Amino acid sequence: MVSTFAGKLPRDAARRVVLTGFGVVSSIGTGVEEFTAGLRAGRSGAKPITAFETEGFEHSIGCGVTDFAPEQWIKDLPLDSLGPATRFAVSAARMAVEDAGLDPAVLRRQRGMVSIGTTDGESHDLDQLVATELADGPEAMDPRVAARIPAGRLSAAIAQELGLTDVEAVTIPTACAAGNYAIGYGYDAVRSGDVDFALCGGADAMCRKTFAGFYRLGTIAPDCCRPFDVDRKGILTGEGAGVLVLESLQSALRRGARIYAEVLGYGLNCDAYHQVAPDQDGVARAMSLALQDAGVEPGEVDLISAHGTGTKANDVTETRAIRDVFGAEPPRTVSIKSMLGHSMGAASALAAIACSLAIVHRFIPPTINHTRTDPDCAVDCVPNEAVEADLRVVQNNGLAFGGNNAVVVLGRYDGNAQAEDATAAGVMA
Amino acid sequence: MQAVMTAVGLALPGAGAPAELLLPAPPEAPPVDPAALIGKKGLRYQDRATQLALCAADDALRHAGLLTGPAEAPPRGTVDGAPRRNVLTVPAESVAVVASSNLGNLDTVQEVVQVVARTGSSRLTSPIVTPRLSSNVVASETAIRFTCRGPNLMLCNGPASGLDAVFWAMTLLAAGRAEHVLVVGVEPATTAAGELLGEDRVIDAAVALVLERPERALARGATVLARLGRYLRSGDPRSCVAALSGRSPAAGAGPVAPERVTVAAWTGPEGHHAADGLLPGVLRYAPAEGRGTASGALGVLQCATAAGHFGAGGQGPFLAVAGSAADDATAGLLLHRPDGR
Repeated sequence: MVSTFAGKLPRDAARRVVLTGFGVVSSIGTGVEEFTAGLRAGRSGAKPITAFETEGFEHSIGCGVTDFAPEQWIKDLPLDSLGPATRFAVSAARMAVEDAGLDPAVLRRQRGMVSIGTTDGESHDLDQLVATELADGPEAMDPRVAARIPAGRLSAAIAQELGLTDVEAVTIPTACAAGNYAIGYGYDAVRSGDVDFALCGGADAMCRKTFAGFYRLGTIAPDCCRPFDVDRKGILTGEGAGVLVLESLQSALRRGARIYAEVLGYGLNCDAYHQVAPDQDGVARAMSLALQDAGVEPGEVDLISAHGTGTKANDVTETRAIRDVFGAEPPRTVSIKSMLGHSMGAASALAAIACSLAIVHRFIPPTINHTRTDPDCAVDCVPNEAVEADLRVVQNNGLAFGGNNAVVVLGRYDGNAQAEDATAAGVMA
Repeated sequence: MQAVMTAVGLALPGAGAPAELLLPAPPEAPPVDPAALIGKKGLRYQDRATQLALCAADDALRHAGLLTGPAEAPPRGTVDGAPRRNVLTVPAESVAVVASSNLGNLDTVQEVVQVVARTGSSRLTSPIVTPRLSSNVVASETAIRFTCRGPNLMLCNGPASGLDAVFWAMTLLAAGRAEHVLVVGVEPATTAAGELLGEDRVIDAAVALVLERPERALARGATVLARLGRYLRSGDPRSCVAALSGRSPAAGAGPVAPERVTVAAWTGPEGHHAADGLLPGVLRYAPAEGRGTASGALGVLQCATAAGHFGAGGQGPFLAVAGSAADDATAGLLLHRPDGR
């Protein structure tokens, strides 16, 4: 791909960007259909961790992906050349392309982008390699596993599996907000006309070192994740991948694609305050930037998919920031981490998919495991049961260590009502 | 293309200014001592990559005129009346940070993994190091030290990562998401990095750039070191050079027709003979040669070299190419003289 930016993008010349395909690997279901059913049912992905040895840890519940067969999706690359996170990413990308009704042969003739966010990359493999090294010496380390480690593999392997040569393949390790970063980057690239399509999202596989790190910070819940609850005890680590197909509205209409939702805008900023403590002003500013970019007033937002990790610090700070932006009566604010755990780099990508499915199927996924809302987190978190809702604008929050905040705003695309505008825009473009 | 480079910052053994990147690396240059450059305060719990990045960032922001106040905290007891350290001269929200590193926090990750593997639990893992397990620690620590509240991210994108970071900066500027972007490329020579790369020496350096839109640079009277031109990603260096220079007839450059560009100077991918035969007869620099593997820092180092070339009166355009035929991908970027010639 070649950059064609000619300066700051004027709002009126910006292309509209829509989501036309999703790939999902999650602890509550693989593929759009199962994932939608899981969200609607309020399914929990929590179970004992089997991805690594948990001996020595008092609690070891997580949201692992246990019934997933990557060979069903990965057709060209040898499976043993891919680490577990890359398998999730490549599978979700293949799924997303199929879901969008796109032929990889057609994509190969277009300019594209693959942007995948992650927290840990292939740290699960790294865990195993180091264990081997300590037990049997460095000679015993498997060179095939060592070759799977570089984080850039997450996106490069997608390009290889789909045979895409004219793509910018980028891996974005912005920790727990990385999925939203990846979507935002793809949005700017499609909007500016730099690329014809973008495969964006996030992927992570559960690993012992991250589990241990969060454990030592005292943020791992013993049994389940209860965002906004007065008795919340922290996160459950999770895993999976979410990949979204982004293309211009013009492209989607031309090929008669099903449109899940429109990306209205996004905001990025940094608290520049503390590595692990979120900052209320920084988080509020990220939301304001996103709404401003999307041209949306706070009062027009119908639902917030919160970062909502279920830790004391996150939930209080995030809900206070929400009230700073939205006032005393903020929109309903849910956390799908109550179901999926914290899937790290995949989290905000899976949440963006969940937001789009909520728009399309007109329901709000619940915040499960909820007993009593913490008065310090005073939001309507749609406890335990999904509700029907007519959603036009949904905001998806992603906050990360380092104070790296990324917020994406999605909107409903009403085909018939808006088709005329879009066609006109297409002709003009 | 509407982005310009207004500063370079170096934390690199044996080079204090971009012009020195044009010369062969001096042998036996001592390693960078971060505490000597920016004071030891705040460095204690940072990994080597972050420390180097902070040094280069400090240097670049000061050269750009975006940072005032001393780098070091005033001595104890003299806080009252002493100038505040590290003060941005522009709104904090307008400064973004994009970092690039492939080996970044590998030492921290390895340290924690070893502790957990040895003890079979997290009991001896220090919570102090947990933030450093996040790959984005370089970008976010830089933001915290200098209060850069704009967009902030890190790329670990293989050999092309440094040029990708520069392009991210251009994208952020073009989309109006930041007014000034600090790009930092860093690779530390830690034991973990050395083990991963085997025989290869790692550069143990950081390079930083400040990028802005030309009108913004002009308005604040900043010196322009280079203008950034076309960026391209492709599968291998040959097609990348072909598409950006229009010089070689190699295929595979995608749907964009090559424009005729006569490259005046260039710098190519790392690796044995990786740059051979790509632009024969064109002045070539190899800023990482003799210094060690630059990996994720390479693209940023290449742009700093372009600034050195233009500063010494060299002609443009200057082509930077990172990622060899043996790598997953190649990125290329054209840079032009400040006067556009």
